[in-house]
Amino acid sequence: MNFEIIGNVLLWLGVTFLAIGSLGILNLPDVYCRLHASGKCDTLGIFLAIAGISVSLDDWTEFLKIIMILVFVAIANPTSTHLIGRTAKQSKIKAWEKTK
Amino acid sequence: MNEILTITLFAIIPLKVLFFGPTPYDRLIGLSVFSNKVLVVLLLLGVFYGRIGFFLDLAIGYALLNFIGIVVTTRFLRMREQDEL
Repeated sequence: MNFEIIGNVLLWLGVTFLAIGSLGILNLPDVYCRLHASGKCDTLGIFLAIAGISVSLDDWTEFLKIIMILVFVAIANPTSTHLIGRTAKQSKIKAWEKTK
Repeated sequence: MNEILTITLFAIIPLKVLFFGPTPYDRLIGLSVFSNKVLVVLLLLGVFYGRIGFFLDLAIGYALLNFIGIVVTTRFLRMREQDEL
């Protein structure tokens, strides 16, 4: 009962961060600004959502597998974001310099 | 069920960046964000159907393919630009 409430709170926090990340991808004007939304909001959202799912599991092998997914995503998602940003800078994409 | 529908609704939004993004890097960011949403939807579908062990293996494969696809695509774009110089 108590674990169910904790899992639901973590899951809906993660869904909120994923939604903010999607809206940031849509609204921001540039590659680097979009990397800002993708790198932080999406990583935190997917981390919280998978943690919320993992609370409700009862078999320990499934729990171990989902912890493996969580650790891998928490390492790989910022790495791929950094890789996209570095490649965009190396191929001389102009940064957005106007102000709104 | 509500959270599955919400994440699916917000997974449609990066498809606009994926299809109409001005540079290839915008499209890569859209693909990455869309894949993250699909990963969470896969795990939630596993909970919803009561077969989480089956969907967990699919989710591990999907996360690995997402990361390796982005690494290979950035290498390919960089190599193509060096060939054009």
